[in-house]
Amino acid sequence: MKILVADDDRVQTLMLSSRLKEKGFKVTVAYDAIQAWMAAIKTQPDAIILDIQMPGGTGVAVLKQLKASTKTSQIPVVVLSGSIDPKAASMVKDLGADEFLNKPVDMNLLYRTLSLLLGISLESPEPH
Amino acid sequence: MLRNTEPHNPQAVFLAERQKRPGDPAQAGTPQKEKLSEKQKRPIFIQEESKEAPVNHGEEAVSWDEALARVEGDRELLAEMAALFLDSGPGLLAAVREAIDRQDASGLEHAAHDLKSSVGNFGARKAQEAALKLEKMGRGGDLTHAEEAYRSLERSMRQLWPVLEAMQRSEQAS
Repeated sequence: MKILVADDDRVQTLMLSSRLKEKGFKVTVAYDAIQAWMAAIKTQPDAIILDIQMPGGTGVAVLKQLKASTKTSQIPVVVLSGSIDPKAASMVKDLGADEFLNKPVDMNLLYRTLSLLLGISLESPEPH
Repeated sequence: MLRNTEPHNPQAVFLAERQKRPGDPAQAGTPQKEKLSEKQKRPIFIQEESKEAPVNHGEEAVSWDEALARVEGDRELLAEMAALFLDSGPGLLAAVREAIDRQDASGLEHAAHDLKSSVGNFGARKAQEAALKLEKMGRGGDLTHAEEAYRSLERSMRQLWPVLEAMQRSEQAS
Protein backbone atom coordinates (compact mmCIF):
# COMPACT_ATOMS: atom_id res chain seq x y z
CA MET A 1 0.00 0.00 0.00
CA LYS A 2 1.10 3.55 -0.66
CA ILE A 3 1.33 6.34 1.88
CA LEU A 4 2.12 10.00 1.37
CA VAL A 5 3.81 11.70 4.31
CA ALA A 6 3.64 15.48 4.06
CA ASP A 7 5.56 17.38 6.69
CA ASP A 8 8.26 20.04 6.56
CA ASP A 9 9.99 18.57 9.63
CA ARG A 10 12.63 16.34 8.10
CA VAL A 11 13.35 14.57 11.36
CA GLN A 12 9.71 13.69 11.64
CA THR A 13 9.43 12.54 8.02
CA LEU A 14 12.53 10.38 8.38
CA MET A 15 11.02 8.68 11.40
CA LEU A 16 7.59 8.22 9.86
CA SER A 17 8.81 7.00 6.50
CA SER A 18 11.28 4.60 8.06
CA ARG A 19 8.73 3.06 10.41
CA LEU A 20 6.03 2.86 7.76
CA LYS A 21 8.42 1.22 5.29
CA GLU A 22 9.20 -1.32 7.98
CA LYS A 23 5.49 -2.05 8.06
CA GLY A 24 5.50 -2.71 4.34
CA PHE A 25 4.22 0.59 2.97
CA LYS A 26 5.58 2.31 -0.08
CA VAL A 27 6.18 5.82 1.22
CA THR A 28 6.35 9.11 -0.66
CA VAL A 29 7.49 12.19 1.23
CA ALA A 30 6.57 15.83 0.58
CA TYR A 31 8.14 18.70 2.46
CA ASP A 32 5.74 21.50 1.66
CA ALA A 33 2.14 22.09 0.70
CA ILE A 34 2.70 22.29 -3.04
CA GLN A 35 4.77 19.11 -3.12
CA ALA A 36 2.10 17.42 -1.04
CA TRP A 37 -0.66 18.31 -3.43
CA MET A 38 1.33 17.28 -6.49
CA ALA A 39 2.41 14.00 -4.90
CA ALA A 40 -1.17 13.18 -3.94
CA ILE A 41 -2.34 13.64 -7.52
CA LYS A 42 0.60 11.81 -9.03
CA THR A 43 0.93 8.83 -6.70
CA GLN A 44 -2.70 8.39 -5.66
CA PRO A 45 -1.75 7.05 -2.22
CA ASP A 46 -3.97 4.85 -0.12
CA ALA A 47 -3.63 7.30 2.75
CA ILE A 48 -2.07 10.66 3.47
CA ILE A 49 -0.36 11.74 6.67
CA LEU A 50 -0.46 15.51 6.63
CA ASP A 51 1.10 18.11 8.87
CA ILE A 52 -1.19 21.12 8.86
CA GLN A 53 1.54 23.67 9.53
CA MET A 54 3.80 23.62 6.52
CA PRO A 55 5.41 26.35 4.42
CA GLY A 56 4.50 26.89 0.77
CA GLY A 57 0.84 27.42 1.50
CA THR A 58 -0.53 25.57 4.47
CA GLY A 59 -1.51 22.04 5.31
CA VAL A 60 -5.01 23.31 5.84
CA ALA A 61 -5.12 24.56 2.26
CA VAL A 62 -3.87 21.18 1.05
CA LEU A 63 -6.50 19.41 3.11
CA LYS A 64 -9.26 21.57 1.60
CA GLN A 65 -7.93 20.93 -1.88
CA LEU A 66 -7.61 17.19 -1.31
CA LYS A 67 -11.16 16.93 -0.11
CA ALA A 68 -12.51 19.16 -2.90
CA SER A 69 -10.90 17.28 -5.79
CA THR A 70 -12.62 14.22 -7.21
CA LYS A 71 -9.16 12.73 -7.78
CA THR A 72 -8.26 12.77 -4.09
CA SER A 73 -11.40 13.25 -2.04
CA GLN A 74 -11.67 9.54 -1.19
CA ILE A 75 -8.13 9.23 0.13
CA PRO A 76 -8.12 9.05 3.94
CA VAL A 77 -6.17 11.90 5.51
CA VAL A 78 -4.60 11.70 8.95
CA VAL A 79 -3.68 15.17 10.13
CA LEU A 80 -0.70 15.64 12.41
CA SER A 81 -0.25 18.77 14.42
CA GLY A 82 1.67 20.15 17.31
CA SER A 83 -0.76 23.04 17.35
CA ILE A 84 -1.49 24.79 20.62
CA ASP A 85 -4.91 25.76 19.30
CA PRO A 86 -7.45 23.61 21.17
CA LYS A 87 -9.85 23.95 18.25
CA ALA A 88 -7.41 22.52 15.71
CA ALA A 89 -8.77 18.98 15.88
CA SER A 90 -12.40 19.92 15.32
CA MET A 91 -11.43 22.43 12.64
CA VAL A 92 -9.55 19.89 10.49
CA LYS A 93 -12.24 17.25 10.99
CA ASP A 94 -14.80 19.77 9.78
CA LEU A 95 -12.64 20.17 6.70
CA GLY A 96 -12.79 16.44 6.03
CA ALA A 97 -9.76 15.02 7.81
CA ASP A 98 -10.36 11.43 8.87
CA GLU A 99 -8.29 11.66 12.02
CA PHE A 100 -6.27 14.18 14.00
CA LEU A 101 -3.16 13.13 15.93
CA ASN A 102 -0.97 15.27 18.12
CA LYS A 103 2.76 15.65 17.63
CA PRO A 104 5.08 14.13 18.59
CA VAL A 105 3.38 11.16 17.04
CA ASP A 106 2.53 8.11 19.05
CA MET A 107 3.38 5.43 16.47
CA ASN A 108 1.11 2.82 18.01
CA LEU A 109 -1.79 5.22 17.77
CA LEU A 110 -0.87 6.00 14.19
CA TYR A 111 -0.75 2.28 13.34
CA ARG A 112 -4.14 1.74 14.92
CA THR A 113 -5.56 4.72 13.02
CA LEU A 114 -4.18 3.52 9.69
CA SER A 115 -5.38 -0.01 10.37
CA LEU A 116 -8.90 1.25 10.89
CA LEU A 117 -8.88 3.62 7.92
CA LEU A 118 -7.35 1.12 5.51
CA GLY A 119 -8.98 -2.02 6.82
CA ILE A 120 -5.68 -3.78 7.37
CA SER A 121 -3.68 -5.15 10.24
CA LEU A 122 -0.37 -3.39 10.56
CA GLU A 123 1.19 -6.49 12.05
CA SER A 124 1.03 -7.90 8.53
CA PRO A 125 0.34 -5.17 5.95
CA GLU A 126 0.18 -6.12 2.31
CA PRO A 127 2.88 -4.28 0.44
CA HIS A 128 2.43 -3.73 -3.28
CA MET B 1 10.71 45.64 26.26
CA LEU B 2 13.79 43.48 26.32
CA ARG B 3 15.91 43.37 23.21
CA ASN B 4 19.15 41.64 22.53
CA THR B 5 22.00 44.09 22.72
CA GLU B 6 24.73 42.25 20.90
CA PRO B 7 24.96 40.40 17.61
CA HIS B 8 24.00 36.81 18.09
CA ASN B 9 24.18 34.03 15.58
CA PRO B 10 23.09 30.68 17.06
CA GLN B 11 24.04 28.82 13.91
CA ALA B 12 27.60 30.14 14.06
CA VAL B 13 27.88 29.35 17.76
CA PHE B 14 26.75 25.78 17.30
CA LEU B 15 28.89 25.21 14.25
CA ALA B 16 31.93 26.56 16.10
CA GLU B 17 31.23 24.26 19.01
CA ARG B 18 30.87 21.29 16.72
CA GLN B 19 34.20 21.99 15.08
CA LYS B 20 35.88 21.65 18.48
CA ARG B 21 34.49 18.18 18.96
CA PRO B 22 36.18 15.01 17.78
CA GLY B 23 34.23 12.74 15.48
CA ASP B 24 32.00 15.45 14.05
CA PRO B 25 29.00 13.63 12.59
CA ALA B 26 28.75 16.17 9.82
CA GLN B 27 32.14 14.97 8.61
CA ALA B 28 31.63 11.36 9.42
CA GLY B 29 28.49 10.98 7.33
CA THR B 30 25.52 8.79 8.15
CA PRO B 31 25.73 5.97 10.66
CA GLN B 32 26.78 2.52 9.57
CA LYS B 33 23.97 0.22 8.57
CA GLU B 34 23.59 -2.84 10.72
CA LYS B 35 21.01 -4.89 12.54
CA LEU B 36 20.38 -3.51 15.98
CA SER B 37 17.69 -5.75 17.33
CA GLU B 38 19.91 -7.46 19.89
CA LYS B 39 21.39 -4.34 21.34
CA GLN B 40 20.53 -3.28 24.78
CA LYS B 41 17.72 -0.78 24.86
CA ARG B 42 19.49 1.56 27.26
CA PRO B 43 22.11 3.57 25.38
CA ILE B 44 25.62 3.47 26.80
CA PHE B 45 26.58 6.82 25.35
CA ILE B 46 25.05 8.71 28.26
CA GLN B 47 27.80 7.44 30.55
CA GLU B 48 30.41 7.84 27.83
CA GLU B 49 29.38 11.41 27.18
CA SER B 50 29.71 12.37 30.83
CA LYS B 51 33.45 11.59 30.70
CA GLU B 52 34.22 13.98 27.88
CA ALA B 53 31.54 16.65 27.94
CA PRO B 54 31.85 19.54 30.34
CA VAL B 55 28.53 18.72 31.97
CA ASN B 56 26.46 15.57 31.99
CA HIS B 57 23.15 16.70 30.56
CA GLY B 58 22.14 13.42 29.00
CA GLU B 59 19.38 12.38 31.33
CA GLU B 60 17.92 15.86 31.50
CA ALA B 61 18.23 16.91 27.89
CA VAL B 62 16.65 13.82 26.35
CA SER B 63 14.20 11.20 27.47
CA TRP B 64 15.74 8.13 25.87
CA ASP B 65 12.90 5.89 26.87
CA GLU B 66 10.50 8.18 25.09
CA ALA B 67 12.73 8.73 22.06
CA LEU B 68 13.44 5.02 21.62
CA ALA B 69 9.82 4.07 22.13
CA ARG B 70 8.88 6.45 19.35
CA VAL B 71 11.19 4.67 16.91
CA GLU B 72 10.30 1.25 18.33
CA GLY B 73 13.79 0.72 19.71
CA ASP B 74 15.55 1.39 16.43
CA ARG B 75 18.70 3.14 17.60
CA GLU B 76 20.09 3.36 14.11
CA LEU B 77 17.05 5.34 13.00
CA LEU B 78 17.33 7.54 16.07
CA ALA B 79 20.95 8.27 15.19
CA GLU B 80 19.93 9.20 11.64
CA MET B 81 17.26 11.50 13.03
CA ALA B 82 19.88 13.05 15.30
CA ALA B 83 22.17 13.62 12.32
CA LEU B 84 19.37 15.40 10.52
CA PHE B 85 18.61 17.50 13.54
CA LEU B 86 22.26 18.36 14.09
CA ASP B 87 22.15 19.88 10.62
CA SER B 88 18.77 21.57 10.79
CA GLY B 89 18.61 22.52 14.47
CA PRO B 90 20.90 25.58 14.34
CA GLY B 91 18.85 26.99 11.48
CA LEU B 92 15.63 26.45 13.37
CA LEU B 93 17.05 28.16 16.44
CA ALA B 94 18.38 31.00 14.30
CA ALA B 95 14.90 31.53 12.87
CA VAL B 96 13.58 31.94 16.41
CA ARG B 97 16.36 34.39 17.22
CA GLU B 98 15.71 36.40 14.08
CA ALA B 99 11.97 36.57 14.70
CA ILE B 100 12.62 37.97 18.17
CA ASP B 101 15.10 40.47 16.77
CA ARG B 102 12.49 41.62 14.26
CA GLN B 103 9.81 41.59 16.95
CA ASP B 104 7.87 39.45 14.52
CA ALA B 105 5.26 37.69 16.63
CA SER B 106 3.84 35.55 13.84
CA GLY B 107 7.32 34.59 12.69
CA LEU B 108 8.23 33.67 16.24
CA GLU B 109 5.13 31.52 16.60
CA HIS B 110 5.99 29.55 13.48
CA ALA B 111 9.73 29.30 14.09
CA ALA B 112 9.25 28.19 17.67
CA HIS B 113 6.61 25.71 16.56
CA ASP B 114 8.97 24.16 14.03
CA LEU B 115 11.71 23.80 16.60
CA LYS B 116 9.29 22.41 19.17
CA SER B 117 8.17 19.74 16.70
CA SER B 118 11.72 18.68 15.89
CA VAL B 119 12.99 18.41 19.46
CA GLY B 120 9.80 16.59 20.39
CA ASN B 121 11.05 13.65 18.35
CA PHE B 122 13.82 13.13 20.89
CA GLY B 123 11.73 13.51 24.01
CA ALA B 124 13.71 16.67 24.70
CA ARG B 125 11.26 18.05 27.21
CA LYS B 126 13.19 21.11 28.33
CA ALA B 127 13.79 22.34 24.82
CA GLN B 128 10.23 21.47 23.87
CA GLU B 129 8.79 23.43 26.77
CA ALA B 130 11.04 26.41 26.11
CA ALA B 131 10.02 26.45 22.44
CA LEU B 132 6.36 26.08 23.39
CA LYS B 133 6.66 29.09 25.66
CA LEU B 134 8.00 31.16 22.78
CA GLU B 135 5.37 29.80 20.41
CA LYS B 136 2.66 30.94 22.83
CA MET B 137 4.28 34.36 23.14
CA GLY B 138 4.27 34.67 19.39
CA ARG B 139 0.70 33.52 19.13
CA GLY B 140 -0.35 35.98 21.83
CA GLY B 141 1.57 38.79 20.16
CA ASP B 142 3.39 39.70 23.35
CA LEU B 143 7.17 39.38 23.06
CA THR B 144 7.94 41.27 26.26
CA HIS B 145 9.60 38.24 27.85
CA ALA B 146 10.79 36.62 24.65
CA GLU B 147 14.45 37.37 25.29
CA GLU B 148 14.41 35.56 28.61
CA ALA B 149 12.52 32.63 27.12
CA TYR B 150 14.96 32.49 24.24
CA ARG B 151 17.90 32.22 26.62
CA SER B 152 16.19 29.26 28.26
CA LEU B 153 15.62 27.66 24.87
CA GLU B 154 19.22 28.24 23.88
CA ARG B 155 20.46 26.64 27.10
CA SER B 156 18.30 23.62 26.44
CA MET B 157 19.62 23.34 22.91
CA ARG B 158 23.21 23.57 24.13
CA GLN B 159 22.47 20.66 26.44
CA LEU B 160 20.76 18.67 23.74
CA TRP B 161 23.47 19.15 21.17
CA PRO B 162 26.35 17.14 22.71
CA VAL B 163 23.97 14.40 23.78
CA LEU B 164 22.81 13.84 20.23
CA GLU B 165 26.37 14.00 18.95
CA ALA B 166 27.44 11.43 21.51
CA MET B 167 24.63 9.16 20.46
CA GLN B 168 25.76 9.42 16.88
CA ARG B 169 29.34 8.62 17.77
CA SER B 170 28.18 5.66 19.79
CA GLU B 171 26.13 4.30 16.91
CA GLN B 172 28.96 4.82 14.46
CA ALA B 173 31.38 3.02 16.74
CA SER B 174 29.12 0.06 17.40
